[in-house]
Amino acid sequence: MSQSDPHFHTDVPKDPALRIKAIETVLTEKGLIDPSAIEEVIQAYETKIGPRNGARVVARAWVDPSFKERLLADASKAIAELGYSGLQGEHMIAVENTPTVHNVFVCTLCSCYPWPVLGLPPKWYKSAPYRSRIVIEPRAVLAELGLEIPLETEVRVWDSNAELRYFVLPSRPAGTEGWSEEQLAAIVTRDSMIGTAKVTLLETTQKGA
Amino acid sequence: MNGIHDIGGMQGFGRIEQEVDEPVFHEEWERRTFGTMVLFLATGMARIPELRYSVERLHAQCYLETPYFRTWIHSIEEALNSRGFTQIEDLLPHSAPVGSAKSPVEHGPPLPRNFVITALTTGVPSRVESQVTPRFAPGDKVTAKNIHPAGHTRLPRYVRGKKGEIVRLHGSFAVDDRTAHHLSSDPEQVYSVRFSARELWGPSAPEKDALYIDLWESHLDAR
Repeated sequence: MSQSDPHFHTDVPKDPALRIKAIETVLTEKGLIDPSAIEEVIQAYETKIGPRNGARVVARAWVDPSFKERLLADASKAIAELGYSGLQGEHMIAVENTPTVHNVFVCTLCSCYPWPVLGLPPKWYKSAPYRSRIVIEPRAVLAELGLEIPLETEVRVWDSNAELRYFVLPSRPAGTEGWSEEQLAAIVTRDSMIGTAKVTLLETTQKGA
Repeated sequence: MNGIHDIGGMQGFGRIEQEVDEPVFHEEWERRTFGTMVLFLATGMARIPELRYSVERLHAQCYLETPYFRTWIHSIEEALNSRGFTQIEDLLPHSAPVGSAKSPVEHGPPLPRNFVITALTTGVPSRVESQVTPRFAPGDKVTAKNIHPAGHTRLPRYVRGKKGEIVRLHGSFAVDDRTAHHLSSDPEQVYSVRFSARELWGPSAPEKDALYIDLWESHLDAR
């Protein structure tokens, strides 16, 4: 409990809708923000900035080896080639899943996440169970989420606690030879780019799509 | 601080519950909180480490029970209150009329709408140029410091005192551990450091598995 907010867990001023409105009013009245921009910011993350962006990056990397090379060398720069950039993606690192290495990322201390390619994180990513467990028992967590990693494959967990933001380049599934970039992007899920799922042809409408 | 937020490696929180077709926001107030937070950050009044530290200081039970975006509201309120703005409490309908609000800090005109929208796509890069020679190079053996500062730190408990190896250099960044407390700091090199799962979790961990984490130079000792 912070000293300066003794009412925080009493039950009277709990209504968050009133509180955020009050903050908006203060910032507006003091001339610090233009409230007409708030809705535009929100809608950008509801409609434009989300995991479909990341899926297009992955699909491009699957069909274009030179793009993949650039992506793994300087992810922010390569992602910007597709028009994606911005807050919480200024310093990106792409990590590649291979038959010998499986990557998964987390932010154990808070909720850091690569916004320009994946949008805002789902609740479970920010939850105590995921943040606490993925570092100590990644294989058990992945298995619980439906992903068995063979023991001969190295599991790398990335804790993004500084200014770097991670995202996983998943393996391209067999049976997609000759597919177009658009077809490939359509099967790449959000969770496959966090590292808690693989890209498969079985359930294209699976959770986390 | 060894707070509840420093949760990596703890046990007992149960299963991970995934929501199918989860919306970006669940409630209207969450939407407004997100949008207002982005605009608030764009004013430059407060930086993210300070806001994180506000959330970390919540009572542990409160931290675990409070909806995520509600903690964002708390952090903005603390930032505004600490700068002498009207207490948000005073603006709520149940409150008595506003009394003597302290003078706010000086500031310029509101940021133009287009500036904010542009910032969404340009971002706010935090890597800075530094002439300081990095102390470590890839392959160097290091130990994460065994420290337990009372304030904000991005060195989590589960790597403290553990032996790792430098994998890559990320460049120089301001030190969050200091900026959260409004302390000036020279930028420091940030390193990707690899710890084997066995070093962190003991002999029952799979031999090949590893944890990679980004640590500032002052978090590390040579070994």
